[in-house]
Amino acid sequence: MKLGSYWLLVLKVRLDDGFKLYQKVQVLMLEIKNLHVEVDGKKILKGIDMHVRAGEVHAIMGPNGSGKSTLSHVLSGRPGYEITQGSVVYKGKDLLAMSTEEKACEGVFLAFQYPVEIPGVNNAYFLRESLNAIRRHRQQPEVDAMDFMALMKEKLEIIAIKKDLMRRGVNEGFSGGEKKRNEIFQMAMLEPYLAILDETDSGLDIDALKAVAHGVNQLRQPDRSMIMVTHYQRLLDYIIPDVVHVLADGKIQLSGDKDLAKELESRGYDWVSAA
Amino acid sequence: MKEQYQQYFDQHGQQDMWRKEALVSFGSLGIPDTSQEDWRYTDFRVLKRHVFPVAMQKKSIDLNQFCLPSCDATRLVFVDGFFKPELSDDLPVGLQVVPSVFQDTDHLRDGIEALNVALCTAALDVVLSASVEKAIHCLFISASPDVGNYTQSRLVLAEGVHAEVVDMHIGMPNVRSFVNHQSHVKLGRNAVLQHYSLQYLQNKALYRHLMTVTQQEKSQFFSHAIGLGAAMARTDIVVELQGEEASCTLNGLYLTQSRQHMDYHTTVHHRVPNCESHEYYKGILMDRSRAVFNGKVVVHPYAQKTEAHQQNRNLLLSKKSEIDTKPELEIYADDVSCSHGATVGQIDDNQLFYLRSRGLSEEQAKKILTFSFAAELLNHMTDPVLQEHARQRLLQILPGDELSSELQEMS
Ligand SMILES: Nc1ncnc2c1ncn2[C@@H]1O[C@H](COP(=O)(O)OP(=O)(O)OP(=O)(O)O)[C@@H](O)[C@H]1O
Ligand SMILES: [Mg+2]
Repeated sequence: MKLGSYWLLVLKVRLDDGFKLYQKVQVLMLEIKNLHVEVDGKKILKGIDMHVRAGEVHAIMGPNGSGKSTLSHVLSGRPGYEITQGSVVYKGKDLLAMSTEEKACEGVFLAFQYPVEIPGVNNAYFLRESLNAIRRHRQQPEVDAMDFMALMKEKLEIIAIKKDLMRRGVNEGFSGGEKKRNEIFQMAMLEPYLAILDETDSGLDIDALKAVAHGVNQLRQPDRSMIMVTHYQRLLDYIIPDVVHVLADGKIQLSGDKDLAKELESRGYDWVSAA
Repeated sequence: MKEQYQQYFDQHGQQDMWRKEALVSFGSLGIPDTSQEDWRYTDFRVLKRHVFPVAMQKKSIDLNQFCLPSCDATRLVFVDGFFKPELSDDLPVGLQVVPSVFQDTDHLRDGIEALNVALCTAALDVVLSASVEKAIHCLFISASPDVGNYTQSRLVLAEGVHAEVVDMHIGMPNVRSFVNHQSHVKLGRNAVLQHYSLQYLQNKALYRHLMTVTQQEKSQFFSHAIGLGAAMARTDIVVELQGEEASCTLNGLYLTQSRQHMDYHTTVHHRVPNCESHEYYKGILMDRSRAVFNGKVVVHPYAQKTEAHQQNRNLLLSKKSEIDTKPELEIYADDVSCSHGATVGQIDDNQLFYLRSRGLSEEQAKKILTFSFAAELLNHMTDPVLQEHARQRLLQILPGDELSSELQEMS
């Protein structure tokens, strides 16, 4: 009897492990296959392959002009890019077939490398319209002004962003760091499943970097994946990635764990291309 | 043409000498055509084909059918060019409504002005020697088809008097009519006038508003012109800065759709030193509509230390819309600070993508961006009730779903 229950226990543990493993393999958030992208006839992405599972954080590093922002833009549907080959499947759906706003409503979020200023459109107002557009798409009830304010208050604390920025126009006159924080704040408000952070760490001072990293870490959850584009290993000290990719010349040249970032920091990118 | 109007004129039994003179001038001046520089882009030839007589029967109107701003003001209602005391508040001291105010017929600019002088049916005559508490709201309703609405207002503000005067033009749907209105303003020393010209006519109306302003020392004139309606509309504003340290601010917002045509011609004469003029007009053009902005500033000799700034910005929402914008600066003094600028642009792609990437539909995103373009000028309106009213009217015209009501508080 004793022996039997021991084996049962072992079997249960094995099954649980197996189930977790199964889940991990199964719940693919994003699958990019052989993606080729051109801008004005110029080949920029030349066969990207990438798998991002639910809950994972991927870092993409790579030299200037290698196509990191291009990839981010294509994933979020910016017009002006021609996809000549390949496919992108997001949560089992064809991402490339969706419009920009559909992607957003389905839970794709891009934190811009260069957040756009929209003078005259109030930040808080804009966010509420966005949130409600997304909620309508998901057949959830809209949030009223009161609930919205409460939600905003909660998220403002997580991101440590000044409240009065919300009363101003979208990014209007924000400092570089404030704009980046605002992107993360929007992410916190809109609760995406796939967040793409394009150089959110660039231009941040040490304290701001820590605050943003803290915010991002708070938003890590089993059903949310993140792709972080960065030039600095430093960010990855605060947000530990599951996978690090090196994008150069329009292709993922190398993938590895967080130690790859350290190696890049000391050896530069030439080493990758040579490898 | 003159003969046809003569006939109505005679029936009307007009005796005033200056009216007869004006009718004669109408005969010689005629309806302006596009060969005249000032009318190059605005073709009122429809006024040559159609006669718009004075309304013969008095129409009764239920004001509740219109969405009016609920201001605490002295409201005066004019229907088809006739004053309606029964729909109006009591006239406070200094205000009266007369058949017309005397005009100098030697300097009529064009046939449309002449026609107004000849046929005017109601003129509001405001002579204020002290500030009035309430704003004066003139509601001009164009109710009957195929008639002309010939109205005038004269505003004379004595030294130090402050006032707010609103001209709002509205109409019944699908009524083709001709609204021919004039305002003449005289501001004494230190007088301050907030003037609103709100053109919310229906789609078939023709509209012409001529406004002249003379300003004495240290007086301030603020003009808020909003143009959202009419098939064809032309506004002329002529300001004479005659006393030192006088200032005028001309703000305007126009939104045109379908085949609408809207024309703003402004002229500011700096005749003496140390005056300021600020002009800011913004336009939104949709569909196949067309707008004209012509801002003329003349700095006369000896008008040193003049500050004159002018800007016109346009947002084209359709490739088929057209804007003709022209600043005209004539400067005959050397120690002045003048600037002007005109821009014509489309919705910014980066801004559009940014909003869409946050889940807003393309149409909503465009609506928000267009509204924010206009909001800047709406925010200059000092009367909050009129501001809100204008905002709602604007939002109704812009395509797309309703925007949540916080837009106003948050914008
Ligand atoms: N609209 C465009 N027209 C022409 N070339 C473009 C356009 N957009 C991007 N490119 C080019 O595509 C290449 C990749 O640009 P991308 O912005 O994706 O690089 P990146 O990896 O994000 O660089 P960085 O690290 O500097 O942000 C660059 O050579 C860029 O000049
Ligand atoms: Mg980039």
